[in-house]
Amino acid sequence: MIQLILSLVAIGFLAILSLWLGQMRTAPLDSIQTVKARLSKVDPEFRSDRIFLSDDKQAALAFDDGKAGLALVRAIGDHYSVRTFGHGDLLEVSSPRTSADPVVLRTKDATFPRLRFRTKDEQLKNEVAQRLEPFVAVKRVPS
Amino acid sequence: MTLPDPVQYAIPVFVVLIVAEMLLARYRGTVSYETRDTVASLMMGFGNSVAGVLFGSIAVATYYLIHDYALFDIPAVWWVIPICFVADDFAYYWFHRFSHECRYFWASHVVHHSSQHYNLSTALRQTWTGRVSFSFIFYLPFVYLGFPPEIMFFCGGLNLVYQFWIHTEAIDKMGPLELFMNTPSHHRVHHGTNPRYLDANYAGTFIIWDKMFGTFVPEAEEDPVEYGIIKRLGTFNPLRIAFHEWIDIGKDVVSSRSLGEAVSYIFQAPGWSPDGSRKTAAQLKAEWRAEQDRRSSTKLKKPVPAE
Repeated sequence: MIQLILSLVAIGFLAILSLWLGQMRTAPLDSIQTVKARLSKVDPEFRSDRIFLSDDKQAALAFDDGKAGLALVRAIGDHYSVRTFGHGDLLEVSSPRTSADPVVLRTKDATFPRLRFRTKDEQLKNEVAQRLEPFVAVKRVPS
Repeated sequence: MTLPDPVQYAIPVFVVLIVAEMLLARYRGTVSYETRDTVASLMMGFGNSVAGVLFGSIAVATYYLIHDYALFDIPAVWWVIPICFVADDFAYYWFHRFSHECRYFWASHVVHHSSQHYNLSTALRQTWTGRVSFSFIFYLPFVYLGFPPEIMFFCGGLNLVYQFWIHTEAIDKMGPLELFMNTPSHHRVHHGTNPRYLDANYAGTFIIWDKMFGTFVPEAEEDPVEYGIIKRLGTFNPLRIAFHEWIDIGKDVVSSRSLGEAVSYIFQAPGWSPDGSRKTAAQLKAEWRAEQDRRSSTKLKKPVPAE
């Protein structure tokens, strides 16, 4: 028992040290080119007809209208993670109550459970929500 | 013969070495550490220890049960330890190879590969489900042969301790040691997702097993290692890291159209699918090789311009 407690203490110490050393970094998703580059590595055939960048530069959505595909790109620490989805592959998309709330997408993929898309642009938010509609298996719920 | 658990004694040294590597990364300005990734790795290590307390007795009971029927009565004396260490390392090679080439065992082992970083904390990113999924069965032939369980556990612990320090980018190639020992360079290759590096360098301590069984791939300067797994995780949640592949297996089994398909989803290589819509590491590597061959043959066929 004492060993497990000491292990937790050590984890806390290393986490604080890592923070102090400035090792908490977030990979920026700040341009369409970055999103396209990430996407082409994972799914070279994905054609991005429309790309939406999150205000916090940590998430992006891309739509391939031709093959009815959705790509989600998110910063995971200082790296990226990308998934492509088809119609019905999202569990739900929350409807933000205020403009400050992000649109939260929950997916069926256990390795990429959710993505928070932040934007203050209401028009953009509506467009995103509209485009996401066919990808949702469960209809939108209030957040 | 009473032997200690080497891992328990090594933990303080692990912490000191991680601190040293973090400081070195800061000094050199490299990006080998990221806080959330590090915390996730350490939490996985902690969970592995908890799982050891909860389920460790499964392995202990199985070892002693098998040892009761052992073929030979190998004594628990000091000179058995080095022999057992080599035997354990041989068993580790096969355990590790199956952990990559059979999805059932991969579901536990994927945890260790799920970081996109490669540093000493990655060494501690360990499975929570290895014991309950009987990953230790690969060691049982040596117990059946007669190696005393306490020495098997001790050697297994030593092997784990050895493998800690090779999880680093801070050490380059190590001269003649590269010939027969598993080194940071060899193990970086093992953690690579580059097609060239897939399904390679399974060794624990001695790289000779990979050289003997055709799975050795040297680190190539022109192909810097990209760490992680092919389907890079989009989460730092320890629970998801621990169980995501089991969940995916469950989903695939439920969606199977026959018993054969369900069994294949569990025991075939990770990435197997009945319609070939997904790819295994072997397929990705074969495609990469074919592409390399095509490129080199195109180069050879290129007409020489007339002078």
